[in-house]
Amino acid sequence: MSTAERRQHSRQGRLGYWFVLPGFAFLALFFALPVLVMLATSLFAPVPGGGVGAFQPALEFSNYTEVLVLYWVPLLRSFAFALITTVAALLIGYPIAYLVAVRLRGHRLAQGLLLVLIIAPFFASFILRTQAWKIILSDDGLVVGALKALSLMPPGAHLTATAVAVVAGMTYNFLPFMTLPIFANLERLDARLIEAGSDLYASPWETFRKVTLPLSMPGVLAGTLLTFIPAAGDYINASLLGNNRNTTMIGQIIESRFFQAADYPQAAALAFVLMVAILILVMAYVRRFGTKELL
Amino acid sequence: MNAVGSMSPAPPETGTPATRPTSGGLQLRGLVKRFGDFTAVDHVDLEIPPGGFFALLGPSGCGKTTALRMIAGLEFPTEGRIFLGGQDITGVKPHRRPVNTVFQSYALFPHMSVIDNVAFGLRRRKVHDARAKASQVLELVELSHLADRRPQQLSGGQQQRVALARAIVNEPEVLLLDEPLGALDMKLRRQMQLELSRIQREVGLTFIHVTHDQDEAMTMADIVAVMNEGRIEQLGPPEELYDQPETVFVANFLGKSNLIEAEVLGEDGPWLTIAAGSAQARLLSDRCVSRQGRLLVGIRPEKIAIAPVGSDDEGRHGTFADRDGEVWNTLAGGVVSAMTYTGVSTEYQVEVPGIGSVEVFAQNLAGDVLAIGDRVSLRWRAKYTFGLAGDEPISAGAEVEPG
Repeated sequence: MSTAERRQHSRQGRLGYWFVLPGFAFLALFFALPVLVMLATSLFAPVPGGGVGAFQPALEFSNYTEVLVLYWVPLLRSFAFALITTVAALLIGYPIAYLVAVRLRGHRLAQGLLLVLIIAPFFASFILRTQAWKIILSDDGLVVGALKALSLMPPGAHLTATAVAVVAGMTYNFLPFMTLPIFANLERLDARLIEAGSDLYASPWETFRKVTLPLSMPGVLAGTLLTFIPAAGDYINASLLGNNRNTTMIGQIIESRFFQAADYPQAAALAFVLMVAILILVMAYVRRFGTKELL
Repeated sequence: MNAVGSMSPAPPETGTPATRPTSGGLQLRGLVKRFGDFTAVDHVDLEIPPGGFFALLGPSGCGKTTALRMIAGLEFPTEGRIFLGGQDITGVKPHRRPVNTVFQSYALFPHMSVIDNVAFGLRRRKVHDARAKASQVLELVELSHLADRRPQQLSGGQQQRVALARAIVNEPEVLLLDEPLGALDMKLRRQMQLELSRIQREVGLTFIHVTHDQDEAMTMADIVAVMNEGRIEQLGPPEELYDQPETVFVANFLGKSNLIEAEVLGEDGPWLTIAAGSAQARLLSDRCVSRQGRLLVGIRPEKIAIAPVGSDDEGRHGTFADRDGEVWNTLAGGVVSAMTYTGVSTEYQVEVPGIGSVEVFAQNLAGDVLAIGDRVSLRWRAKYTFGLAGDEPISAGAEVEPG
């Protein structure tokens, strides 16, 4: 190849990079820059003698220790709620995805119908759906009535304004984020591998554990991340279905620090702590369970 | 045609341990599988003795793979029963059957190393020293050096051998092979054919090999069952099937046959005399499915000797006996209408008046090849002639797309 040809060749190879430029520019302007602004704000100090919401640039690292001391409980609770939500969504979403992708393989109509049902919640607004859960879980609602009739709930108990309601609402709202990636993964699963498992003395359960589940791990990984990350930062379910005392999540605190207390450095510090905590957890998780194919 | 394979005497009584075969013997009794309106397997009776290499040969859609899947337990028969070693396994779940399959697609577990794939079945049965046993079998298929690779890092032939190792390591009573060489190129396929035969002899398991490739079935199997439209047409050792086909389908599917419509004229000792057009010929009555009426008379193309007119038997027609008492059938007045020279042999199409087109394979021993338009006479030893039922469609099995 001549020099000119080689130059022509590599120029064609580089053409693709121009297409990602708009995306990079967009993210730099609306993500990287705001994160830097937030990071700077989290170190601001109050203007001496200034009013509410008056801050000036500084390097006030004590903002971080302050918010951690004040709000470590809601922070931990957020991760606990997010974890329970993720596990619940996995336990509900995996069987649904398996049913649609593996058991109903070839039954196009049933598959399509169930997929629409999985996605259907997205057709209604997030806030409206959460509001509806408030009614479902209310004291004179169907769920509480049934549970009390079956003596599974003491007569004076409530479901609204409890941790159960918050986790239930989040599980419902994030379920499609769990189900769809697992479905997409299981749909590509070679059914002949399941036959090979049963041919090689594995019971249906063993075949699932040794063949199907390991092969669907990329889907499970994507689904759990897509559920856990937004759940950890959620504040709509917590504020609509919670009680603002022992169900408070970190998203609510950030929201009230920012909009009500106008304590921008604290809100920014909390947001940054949340971001870093999620990043560390996710990286540890992916390192532990991630597959090479995904990374 | 309701061919019933009877390789060994009547099946032993089930349940009584004294008469139960010690290993391996597989029986299919009246096996039927329907998918909706389509009957994939239609009343198949088969007895496969332990320790042999058995081939189920047929065109695609003939039901051979469905039969195999029923033996593996991956399909449940609509009717009929399956016995293994004298025990009824019809309702036994696949993972409880002492049967393993080498799948056409290999179906290797992509998330496991080669050695873990091979040890999979042993581990499920909690066999002691699974890894060591798996290593031994990997040695048998000459893949020890690739034990820690993933299947997708191997070539097609290597994957094929992993699939084989993964099945035989379990020492099943029956090993099922579903077109295992279909995805390999010609050269590798020949090599694997030899290797499969060697491994079968070494491990001594019962192999049931499903294939559409007649060469593969004939070179590897001790016994071949030819399947067509869900039924077994004929069953026997490859030489027997080739030498004495009993149906038009077998005659055409297994190699090539010249089939000529004829009428039985009479019987003379072991011989039947038949008339085809203006020609007469003889065939042995025990190589003929019926002794009267209309027949399809067959002769394999390589059994026919072709000679230019002008040589010693010019003008002779019909049947004659030579000095050694060998009986020959002769067709005179043929004209070469097409020829294909392949080096080692030449394939001729000869038009014979009143008979039609006859195919002849001649070995190029002397090198004098005939040309198109040459006038020739054809003759063959009468004992190689076979007779089939006259009411069968003459091209059955001839135009079947293999695969």
